[in-house]
Formats: sequence, structure tokens, C-alpha cells
Amino acid sequence: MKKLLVVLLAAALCVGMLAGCSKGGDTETSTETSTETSTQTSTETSTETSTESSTEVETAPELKDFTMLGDDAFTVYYSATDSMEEFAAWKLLRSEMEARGVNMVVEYVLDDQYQNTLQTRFAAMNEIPMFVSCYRLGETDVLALANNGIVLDINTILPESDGTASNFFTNNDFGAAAKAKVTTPEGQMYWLPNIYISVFEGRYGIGTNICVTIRQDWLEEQGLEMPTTLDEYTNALKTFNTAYGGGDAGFGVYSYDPCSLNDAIAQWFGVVRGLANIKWTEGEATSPWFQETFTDYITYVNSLYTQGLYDDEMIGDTQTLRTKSSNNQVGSYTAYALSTTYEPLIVAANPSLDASKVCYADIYPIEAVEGVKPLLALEDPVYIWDEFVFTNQLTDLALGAAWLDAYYCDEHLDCINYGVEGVNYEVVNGEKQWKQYTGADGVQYNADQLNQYLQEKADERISYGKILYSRYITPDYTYYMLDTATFNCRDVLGWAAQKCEYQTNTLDWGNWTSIDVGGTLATASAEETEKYNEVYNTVDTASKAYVAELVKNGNVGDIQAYSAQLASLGLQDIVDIYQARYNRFVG
Amino acid sequence: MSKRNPNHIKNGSVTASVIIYLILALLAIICVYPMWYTIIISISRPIAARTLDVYLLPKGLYWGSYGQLVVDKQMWICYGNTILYAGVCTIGMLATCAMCAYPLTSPLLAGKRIVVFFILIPMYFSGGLIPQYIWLSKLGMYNTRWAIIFPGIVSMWYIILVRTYFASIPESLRESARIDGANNFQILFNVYLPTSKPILAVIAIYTIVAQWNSWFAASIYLVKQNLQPLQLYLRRILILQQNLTQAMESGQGGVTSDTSEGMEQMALSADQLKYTMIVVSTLPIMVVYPFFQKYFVKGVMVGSLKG
Repeated sequence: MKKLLVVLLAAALCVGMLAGCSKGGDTETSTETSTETSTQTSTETSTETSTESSTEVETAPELKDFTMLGDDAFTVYYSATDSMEEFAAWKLLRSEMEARGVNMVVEYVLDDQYQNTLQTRFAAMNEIPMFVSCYRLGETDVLALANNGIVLDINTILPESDGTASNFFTNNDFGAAAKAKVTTPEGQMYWLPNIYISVFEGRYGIGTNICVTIRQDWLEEQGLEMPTTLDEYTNALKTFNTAYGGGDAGFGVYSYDPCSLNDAIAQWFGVVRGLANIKWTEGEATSPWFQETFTDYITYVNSLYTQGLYDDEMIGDTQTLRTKSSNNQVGSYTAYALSTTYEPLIVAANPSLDASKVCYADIYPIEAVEGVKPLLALEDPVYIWDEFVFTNQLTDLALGAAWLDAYYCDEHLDCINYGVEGVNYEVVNGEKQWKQYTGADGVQYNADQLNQYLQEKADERISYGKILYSRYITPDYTYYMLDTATFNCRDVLGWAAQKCEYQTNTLDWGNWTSIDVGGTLATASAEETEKYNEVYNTVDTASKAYVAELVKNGNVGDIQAYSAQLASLGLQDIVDIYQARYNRFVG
Repeated sequence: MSKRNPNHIKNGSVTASVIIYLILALLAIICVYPMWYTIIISISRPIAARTLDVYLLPKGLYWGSYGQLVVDKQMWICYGNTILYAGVCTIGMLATCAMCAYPLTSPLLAGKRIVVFFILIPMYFSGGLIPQYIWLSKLGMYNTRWAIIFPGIVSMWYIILVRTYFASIPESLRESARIDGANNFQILFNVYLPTSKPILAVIAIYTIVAQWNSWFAASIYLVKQNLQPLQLYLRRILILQQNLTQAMESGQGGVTSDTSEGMEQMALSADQLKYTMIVVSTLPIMVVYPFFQKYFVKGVMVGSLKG
């Protein structure tokens, strides 16, 4: 009897285990539950909107739910979950959507949880909406999802378009360029990217750049001119080190990590940026390790190092750069041309300094090797990045096409950049004139200013597309007004006038390499991605170690051996992949 | 002068004592300094905190970040959630462990070996994150408090621990209680549990500490901010600060001085706030721990063999 009881018990435990592992449940129910709150809000809004519009348009299309998952990134200023529906820009987008029969049902996940949420939901194939911002996953993961049929090819959706979206990706220069970049070699377009277009005084497709900066106030105090040669630059660092650092190592000198090969001094020698990159003028992919002038660069940097003019603490690690800047110890470093990040920090930490003078001025590229025109690392003027996908939960392709049409219509693209007429601007004599609002403590601000008065804009609910939802919930399509940022340095800041002049004078430099080569070229194929992922980390780690060695010991004779070693580890493969991607992009 | 007795027993060496005390003092400093550093930086001037220019004493006294936290409604909601999860999970854990362990100590339980074996399997092998995620989603617990509480009230290891402790209680106690007419529940609650306070205290404090420090499960299962625990909120503040710093230091187009000044202000706030949050979130544990310290020590020995 006891044995029988034991057997029955064991059987019961096994059956219970198997029952617990069985399929079942209703994923649709859980999806509905999770979107219940946003559905309520959107239903109320859509009822209002459809009631209003029914008097104007007799045949309003039937609304169909279009589920979306988005990253609630701007948590400091407002809660997307609680407040998104109150913003004028979002209301405009919603009205465009509803006019085409799309009822957006958005689930917002806080930024720090977004990646985990994406990964677990895709892995479990649970609670996947129709449209997902996959910017936290990256191209490789999105391609893997596409290969498994979870992510749809947008080219299958576009034929259902009423012409708006298909026109955008064909006839709009930037839309077409973006499509060319994200289309795989096999012809699929698996994601919508952010599109970021630099504009300078009406010229579209002009980018900013990265350069070496130097303390302008220190130059003036020491009676030095802006360096135009390597010797002048070295002399300036030496002077700073003596005058402001008492000759102590790491004080007043050049502070930037050379190991990742992102150091702008390398570009003075015509060396491309990063592990591998494109020399755009020649249409050639290469690596610093394969360039002849790399030896000259290493020799120079080593000479700075041995003279105590290269901050030893930065080699391999730039985490202390912020602390050193605020301690007023950094004489020169690499930065974006218009960056004014550390000046306020220095002034705040050192109140005795004259705030109108502290400035890291931009050094024009120095021709370090005779006959070799310096490169400039340029931000891609039509820059694309991140991935926004349609998933296989979208069974009605016409619904997806309607979403695309609403999103990429001219009215909405305007809304992303300029906001809503009557709220952010008025049109006077055909020109947009920004409205002014009064914030807390009587602060007057323009409704157009990008990153300023964000809290005030949120409070007034006038934040528009590019600071409200694009990039995190939906794709971005913004014009970066390079001229505004540039002239701001001169007209508003005053002390950064040199940066304005530098930026203006280097717009047409011509000889450039990319700041982010990955976002500039056509999408890699699956094989290329696999190969790249297989070799990149190893090559990168080895390269950084070799550069650190070379900077410190200056044994340029080792460069050839190191290059050969890196090539065997896969550096040549990386260069070949970039070349193939470049060829597809221009072809 | 009397001769020194060769059998005189030395009472320790002064030199050795000094060295030992020095080593212990150094270790104490190593243990205490990080917490002291966090406290002094949380009350220093923001710019000193941002530039890490604080070493032994606070630089300037600034209580603004504590003031900021006090009025931060979300932080208190998360604090309350953590207390709720810690409390409920502790009570649940004690209940499940006691009620699972008790029958496993009974000599009359048929198939005890199979049950114990069945319990031991998940202790060594787990399905992993995705199966658990699917399981909780199918049960309708995703994005609810149950996603934290349900998995948090059962631990095979603690069941084994309690069972081991119960096994050390003489069987004669159970028999005499049974002779007196007690049923199993009465024996458990009136005989076993009162004599098992040490092990229950150990499990309670371990569960409280685990739940207090827990954030990963919440980051996976809880999307609604109002359900999230304190540590997840602290993590969010830390990430916000890092993102702000990176955005500023990348100096990407659009970051002018005006914008960077505004962002700098935010970064300053976030920078110091993280230290303040660390102090606020560890205070309860620091207060509670001295009362449970002896149980921690006992807990280390609980699983060991007895001679």
C-alpha cells in the first residue's frame, strides 16, 4: 500500500510539473490588459476628434488599433504615460493618424528598463506590439528578428500606401538616402531610421566636425597665438604646463585617450578616425594601422608623452576628464567644434576665473606631414541611426501603410521640427515667426529653442516632435540648425565667437572622414554583420593595447608587426566590409 | 634580583598586539570609509560632489539634495513598495518554509525521499529568465505586484535549512504533544515554531535584505513606475546622471553653452542625488542590522554539521 501511495505521489508530481509547463493562456488578453489605460485615453481622444471631424468629413474611416511600444526617455520633464496626450504636437500626430483610420495605442516603458523589456518580450514572444522602437537592440538583433520572421520588411507595407510614404522614400532626397542606407544587400528594408539633417543658412547636408581644442584664455595670458604648426602647438602645451601646472605631469597638457584612435590630432596626419573608416574624397576604406602617416602620428604623440605633455591618466580611460576639467587642469582636448561643455563647469568650480574669457577654442587642422592634407572627422550631414520596426503582429498591412502615410506627411514632418501652427509659431508673410512664452520667474523664451527651457515647454505642453517623442517612440526627421548653434557661440555666448568662426570656415573643408562610419554607410549584410561581430572585439582590444604601448615607448618599428597581427585577427576584414558598404552606398 | 622563572607563561606580546590592532584598524577603515564618504559627499556642496573633491570631511554643508528627495513623491512611493515587498515576502517566506519543512521531518510521511528529491531539483537547476517570464505572464502577473511577491515567498534552500533545524528538535516533543491531543498544526505553531526562532530570524533577515536590495526582477516584470521598488528608482537616477554627462560630453551638435548650462545644472543635481539616495535607501538596513547581527552569525553555522 505504501509503495502504491509513493508511486501515485511521484506520478502526481510529474503530471503537475508537465501541466505547469503546458501552453495556454491568451496573449491577446494580456496585450489588451497592458494597453487598457492608454486605450481608455486614446478612445476618449479619438471619440472627441472623430466627433469634431465628422462634421467636416462625412466618411471618416473606421479606427483600427495600432499598438506601439515606446521608450519614455524624457522623464525629468514629464511622464509620457500620464501626459503625452496633452501635448499639442502629439494631438496633431494623432489627428493625422485618425484621419487615416489609425488609432495609436502606445505603451510607454521607462528608459532604463526599455532594453530589458524589449529583450524579454521578444525572447518570450509575448506582448509584442505592432510597432516597436528597437534602438536599444541594434542592427544585428533586428536582422536576427527579421530572419526569424518577427520583423516585417517595410517594402511589403509601402505598396499599400496612399502615395505619401512611398513618395517620401523615393522623391524626398533625405528619405531616399535613408532608405538606401538601411536597405540590405538583398533589398529588404527592415527598419525606419532616425534622419538628422544638418542645415546651415539654407544649405542642407552640411555637418559639424570634431577637432582639437585649446584654452584660448591661457593662450592670451601667455601671449601666444593660436597654433598653426605642430611646433607651435607643442610649445603652447609646454608653456601651459609650466605656467599653470608648475611643470607637474598631466597639468595643463593634452588630455584625451589615444587608444580608441578617435583623437583629432591623428587627423592632422591624414589618419582616419577609429579602427577603420572611409576617406571620403578618395572613396577608400582604410585603417590607421595601414596608413603610412600613422607612424608620424605615433612619433609625435610619443614625443608629447615623453615631454610630459600628454596626460598619462587619459591613456585608455577618459573618465577623469570631467574632474580634471573642473579642476582647471586641462589645456587641450578633442571635442566637437561647437562643444562648450566644460567651460561652465570650470567657471562653476573656480569662481575666481573670468567667465567671459574661459574658452576652449577650436584649432584649425594643422598640416602635420608635408603634402598630406589634414582630414576632418565630420558628422554625417544626413545622419541615420537607430531602428524602428513593424512586427509580425501587424497582420493588416494597410494599417501599417496608413501609419506611415500619416507619419511622413508634410504636415507632420513640419510638426517634428517646428511644432504646431498657432502654438509654437505663426505664419507671417509666408515666414514662420516663433511665439514667445513666459516661463517661471518671468523668463521669456521662444517656442522653437531646441534644448532650452525644456521644463517650461513641458509645463506649457508645447514641446514639439523632436523633443517630445521622436527618436524614442517614433523615428526622428529633424533639421539640425547648425547655423543657429554656430551663431549662438558668437551672438549669445560672446566668449565662444572663435568657435563660430571656426565652424563657418571649415564647412567646406572637403577632405573628411566620418565621426560615426557605421551610421554613414549602407547597411551590412547578414554575413558581413556576422563576420564583423566575430572579429571586432578582439581587434579593438588588441589595437587599444598596441596604441597604448606605442604612445608610451614610441617604438615605431613595431607598427608593421602590430599591423600584420591585427590584419590576421580580422582588421582587414573590417576594412573590406566598410569598403563593400561604401560601394553599395554610392552605387 | 630574582631569577626569571623559565616556565613563566607569556601573556602576549605588546608588539604583536600593536600590529594586530593596526591591521584591524585598517580593515575597519576600509569597511567604514566608503559609507562615510557617501554620507559626507551627500551633504557637501554640489560642485564639490560633482568634481569628487571631498575626502575626509564634507565641503560646505548643503542639505538641498535631501530636501529634493523629501519632496520627491515618486521616491516615497518606491520606498513604500520596497517596504511592502520586503514585509510580505518575509512573512510569506517564513510561512512557506515552515509549512514545507514540517511534514518533511515527519517519519510518517510516505514518499518523503521523492518529495525531497523533487524539491532539490529546482534548487540546482532553473529554467532561467525567459521561462519564468513566460510563466508569470501566462499567470497574468506581469506588471503586477505578484510578479515580485509570488517568486519571492518560496526558496528551496531555506526549506532545506528549516527542515534541518526542525530535524534537530527532539522527536519526543512531537510525540508528547500528540499524546496530549495536539494536531499537526498545533504541533507546528505551538512546539516547533517557538523553538525555531533563531532559524526563522535568519531567514527573515536574509529575505528582508534580499528584497531590499532587489531591482532586477522589478526591471523585468514591472513596467508601471508606481509598483517599482526603491533600488530600481535609485538605478534610474544613476543612469539619468550618466546619460546627462555623456550627452554633455559628447558635445553633439545642438549642445550650446545655454543648453549645456541647463544640462549641467541637472547633472549637478543628479550627481549629488545619487549619493543622497544611497544614504536614504541604506539607512533602514543600517538601523535594523545591529538587532539581527547575532542571528547572522548563527545563520552561518546553521547549515553546518553538528558533532
